[in-house]
Amino acid sequence: MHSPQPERWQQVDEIIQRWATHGRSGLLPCLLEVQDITGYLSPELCAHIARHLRVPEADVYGLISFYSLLYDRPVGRVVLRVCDDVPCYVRGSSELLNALQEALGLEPNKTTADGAITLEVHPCLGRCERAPFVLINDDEIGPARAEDVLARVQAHLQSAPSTLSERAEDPAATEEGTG
Amino acid sequence: MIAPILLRRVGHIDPESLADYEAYEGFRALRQVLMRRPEQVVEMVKASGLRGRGGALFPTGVKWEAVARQPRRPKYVVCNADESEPGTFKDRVLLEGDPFAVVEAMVIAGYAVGASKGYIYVRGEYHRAYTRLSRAVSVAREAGYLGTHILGSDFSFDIEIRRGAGAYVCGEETALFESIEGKRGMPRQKPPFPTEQGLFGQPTLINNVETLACIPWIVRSGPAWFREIGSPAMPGPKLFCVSGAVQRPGVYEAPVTITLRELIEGMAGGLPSGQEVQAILVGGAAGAFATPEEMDTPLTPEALQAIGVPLGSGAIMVIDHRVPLWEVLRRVARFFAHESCGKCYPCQLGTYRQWEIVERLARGEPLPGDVERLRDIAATMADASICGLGQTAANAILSALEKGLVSVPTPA
Amino acid sequence: MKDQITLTIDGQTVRATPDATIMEVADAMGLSIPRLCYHPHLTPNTVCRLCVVEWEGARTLVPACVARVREGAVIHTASPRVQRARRVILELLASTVDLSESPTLLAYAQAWGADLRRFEAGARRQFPLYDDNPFYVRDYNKCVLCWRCVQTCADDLQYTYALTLGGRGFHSHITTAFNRPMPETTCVFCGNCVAVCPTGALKGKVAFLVQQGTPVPVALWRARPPR
Ligand SMILES: Cc1cc2nc3c(=O)[nH]c(=O)nc-3n(C[C@H](O)[C@H](O)[C@H](O)COP(=O)(O)O)c2cc1C
Ligand code: SF4
Ligand code: SF4
Ligand code: FES
Ligand code: FES
Repeated sequence: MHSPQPERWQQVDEIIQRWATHGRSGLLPCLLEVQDITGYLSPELCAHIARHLRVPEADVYGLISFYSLLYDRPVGRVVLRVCDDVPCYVRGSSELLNALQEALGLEPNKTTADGAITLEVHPCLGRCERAPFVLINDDEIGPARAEDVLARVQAHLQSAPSTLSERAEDPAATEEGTG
Repeated sequence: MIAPILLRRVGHIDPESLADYEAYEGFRALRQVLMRRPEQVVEMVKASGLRGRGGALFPTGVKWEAVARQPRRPKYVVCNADESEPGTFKDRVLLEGDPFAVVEAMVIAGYAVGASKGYIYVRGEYHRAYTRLSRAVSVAREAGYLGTHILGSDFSFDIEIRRGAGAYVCGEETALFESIEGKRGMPRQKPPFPTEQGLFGQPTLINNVETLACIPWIVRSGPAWFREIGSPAMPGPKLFCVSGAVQRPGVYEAPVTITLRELIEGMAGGLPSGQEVQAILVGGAAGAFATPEEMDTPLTPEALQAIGVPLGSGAIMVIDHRVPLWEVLRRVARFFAHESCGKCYPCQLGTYRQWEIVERLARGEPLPGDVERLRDIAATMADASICGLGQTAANAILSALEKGLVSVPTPA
Repeated sequence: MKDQITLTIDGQTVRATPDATIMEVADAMGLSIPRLCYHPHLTPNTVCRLCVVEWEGARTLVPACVARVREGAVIHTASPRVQRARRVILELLASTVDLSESPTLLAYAQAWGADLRRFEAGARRQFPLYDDNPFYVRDYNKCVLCWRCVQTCADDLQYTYALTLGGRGFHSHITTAFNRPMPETTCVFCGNCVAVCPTGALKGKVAFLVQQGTPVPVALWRARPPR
């Protein structure tokens, strides 16, 4: 893997060092924190983490593939999680989702060709009092209107620092991105 | 109506300010507890009649006593803040609005059962709750409410916060332990129960956020006071998450003697004009439907049981007459198929087949025998699954069929 | 000898030691409780639920392979609830997995009256055939997810950790780190996973080739490791 930002790789190493003392119990927080910086968990990163935490590589992969917030391949710099569970549905999540799909030209669980935006249909996000609810990375919008969501997505694209992986170059970025 | 207890501070204090928390009774319960013997604290929780707010309604004092009696050390206290039951958001409101209360309650629990370490497992999508809790834990530590020799006593206890990673099943207590241990969050066959072999195989007390939030108040005002609220079988204040077709969706605090109608039409402001109740999904996706005719039912466990509805997590999802109910059932079925951990065959396969059949019914294109297939899957999941996820995955769908809320299309 | 307790299984009063499982006691009585994930040399994982029995007073059925007997327990190993659970589990399995090389499961299906085509409108789990090494092939279309291979490869025997469960729910499957071919994993080709696999999902290369119609000498030649 190549990296234009050595200080952020240093951050990754610090995270791994910090959790290494926890052994296997440090695996999930380590993966989450590393992914916060790298955007996804590449095979090389996983091998590295596996070695330092003394966990079999197969088990690291088994873990990533179990949890839906962990990604083993690139996802968009902005991940849009649109809730479509019962309370949000009763308050119009279907229409919202359709509008967003159309505006972004995206099917659920896909990423735009430039690797910028991933759209996920999500079970209840625990903010049903603000239905229909959308998470843009960790930014909360609800009750959400399609225009507001799209505007906020644009703002995020402009401000969000690109993560370590050069996703736009990766052809896998257009494939299904769930872990 | 009672004045709010659990929500008393929420929205009224700066959740990041320890001084604010202290000014509103904060950490006084802990000071009181440290002057008593641990057995007295357990006794107090038992006498309060508090039952678990995570969904199973297990008597909290009985659980505390079971952990307190375990001779093996170390023991752990775990706060279940993985809240992922559809329609449920009360724990988030407490964590975001009153994070120190959870910290205080966990220290009290640790003292009572003889644990030295606590974990809070917070749902991965609850970013603000995680930040606030992290802050509360470090501020409390600096102030001497956590760490060694808490408030000058012989008692030492500390808390580590863990983030979930997107798996509903990790709210199941043993799956949650597996997850903290760095494994795929798959539930364990019980027994052994967590009180004997929980986190890292050690005796563990695990409680829901709202359950823990009751503890400081029980200590401060006494078990008798707590029992005066609510019903004999379900004492204390309860948080309800009212969502869907109401004017003011939100978390409401009430004794369980309140009826569905009072909660929906009173506290939550009723439905928007022109809309009528079609059905109410109570208790989450793992819950069951109440009909408009059943709206005068109080939310006591007994009264709810009589209409075949669990209190569960306290989710009250109001569905108005314009909504196609099959669309609701599709989402419930999809949820369980998506969230089954895949460990045991009845749920791994049953939740998926159930989803396929519900999709067929929702499209109006069932195959002959589909309803019998659904019923057989439902019974098998309920009877033979390892954990509560599979055991309840068909409840809502069955209740909609049984109460005649949906009509079953005839096969072509 | 340990203290004996008394319990009732299928109407017969039996005595047993309190650390015995229901399955052990039932086996000694000559009752036939079906089982799939249970293996005497592996840690019980209780995934298949074919061994469930009805314990009077219990809310759910209990897995006989791990549930321990207790004084006064009244247990039914083939009540209507038990029969339904076993039948439906087998029907669900048959609609998902190719059971053609699982004679025991097919016999169970017959014994418990399972209609193997009842759920055939549903999706099956589908995988390519993994023929990536000279020693064995992996055909996960036949895999019932009994976990035996994973456990054997890991702490139950081999401590090699080449295999893992991947995905979740219906989409659970056996895989390797990033689904790499076996030669690129920690696999040492001990063959223990092949030995414990009950369904023909894991098969020695020679047996596989012969089954495909390759003459035995050719199969033996082709299954040789590369120099
Ligand atoms: C599938 C499933 C999901 C659960 N999710 C939660 C949850 O998110 N929060 C929670 O407190 N309890 C949850 N529970 C219940 C826990 O297993 C456990 O009973 C609870 O944490 C005990 O705490 P309490 O006695 O204070 O309620 C869940 C149970 C199941 C079967
Ligand atoms: S019931 Fe479902 S979620 Fe629970 S252990 Fe079985 S497969 Fe996993
Ligand atoms: S490959 Fe064989 S041993 Fe492994 S889980 Fe599948 S059926 Fe069991
Ligand atoms: S249903 Fe959308 S946040 Fe709960
Ligand atoms: S043999 Fe008991 S659960 Fe599989």
